[in-house]
Amino acid sequence: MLFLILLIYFSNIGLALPSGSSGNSPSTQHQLDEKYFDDRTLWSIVWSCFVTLFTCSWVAVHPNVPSVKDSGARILGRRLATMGYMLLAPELVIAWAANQYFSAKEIATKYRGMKSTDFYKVHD
Amino acid sequence: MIHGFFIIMGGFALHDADKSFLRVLDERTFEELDIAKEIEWPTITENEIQDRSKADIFSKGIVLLQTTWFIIQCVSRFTAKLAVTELEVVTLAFALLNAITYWLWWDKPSDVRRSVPVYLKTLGLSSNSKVSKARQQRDAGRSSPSSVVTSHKDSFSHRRDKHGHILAILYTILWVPIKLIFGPLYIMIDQEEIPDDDLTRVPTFYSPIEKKQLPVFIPSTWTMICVIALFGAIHFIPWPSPFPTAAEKWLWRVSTILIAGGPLFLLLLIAMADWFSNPFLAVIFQNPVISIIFILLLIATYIFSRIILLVLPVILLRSLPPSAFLKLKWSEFFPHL
Repeated sequence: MLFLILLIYFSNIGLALPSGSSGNSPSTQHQLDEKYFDDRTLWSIVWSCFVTLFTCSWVAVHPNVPSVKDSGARILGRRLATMGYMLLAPELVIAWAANQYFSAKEIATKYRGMKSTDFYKVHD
Repeated sequence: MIHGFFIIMGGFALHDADKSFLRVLDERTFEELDIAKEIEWPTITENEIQDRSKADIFSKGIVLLQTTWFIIQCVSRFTAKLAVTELEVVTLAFALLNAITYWLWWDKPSDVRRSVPVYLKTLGLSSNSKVSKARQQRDAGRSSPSSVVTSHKDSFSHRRDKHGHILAILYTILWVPIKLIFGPLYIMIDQEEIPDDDLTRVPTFYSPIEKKQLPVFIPSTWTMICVIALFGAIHFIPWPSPFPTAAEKWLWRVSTILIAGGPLFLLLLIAMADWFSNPFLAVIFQNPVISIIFILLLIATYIFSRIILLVLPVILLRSLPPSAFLKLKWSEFFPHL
């Protein structure tokens, strides 16, 4: 909701601002820049992209259950590797996640029919 | 649903009646043993599984804030007619794919470290060959825990003895890394069995899919095709924006069209071959050589376009339009602050 409001708000600003080469003299253009805009650096652009990508894939990745023998470093490594693949071939990671999703759904419906009301609760 | 995910991700581990660990349980073995009435049905409830999930609201909140902020910035730049860099567009596309992944794994418990034991009812002989095999492996491990069975076939000396020095070195520096990086990609879209030499967990990119079906009938194939089209479509955003050279502009445009339009083209072909039983297309698809060449060509084009769309945004950072270095002064737009 907040997002929509902001969107509408800024579409108005876009109309109010001169659109580049609309005949404004350089000086007024510059004054407008001063008033409404700040500078940003190349580094800040790259950094914001990197942070967004990294945090998104960190939260999106749900690894499988590791072996009892696996160390913490290996588990972390596996997660980072999956995140790497998320960047390299996101469509294949999604295919994998979709496979798991549809299989889980299938299993859920199968056992729900077999085991009366609740999947695991009622079984003796 | 959560239980379904929990089986698939290797959340249940088969234990012997004396409570010693045997192997991870896949869905099929689980079903076989349940029908044979050889296991105690696990009593874990959905809430208990959820409790093992280690996704904290704090980190999720931060990610949500960061991503929303990023999207707001991009949209506001777009509407205020400031340049949105190609890198930001690509980041948007990846963020969207991450969101889809997140949604698909919504019910999958996150970062579970320990599996839930499922016990066999008796120590006696099992009708299931997988159980006796796992028992054998356990007993072998107990009698000589130090002697780890390494697969001799993968060792360098084995290759040297078999193929000679040069081939063995080439194999090691070329094929092994390729297999290491691209092997998982293949596994992600293909079924994988739990390997016999490590029964303690399911593979990293494991998912059980019925292999009997053609890929066309697997829902995840359709998911992937839609996702690719969507991913490509986002790359249309910088279509009108200035590129430093014409070559770069057209590389970007053509790659975008190929990726966004490729899946649609494929769907059209399948539909035409299927519904109208077009004789010309049928001939093409039935000829194994032509269809293999066609598929290879398609994959090669796709990979090439993807690489371009991944590398170009970084190259384009070298000469950005001046307005890319401006950002909105938020204080000016919220006078009451």
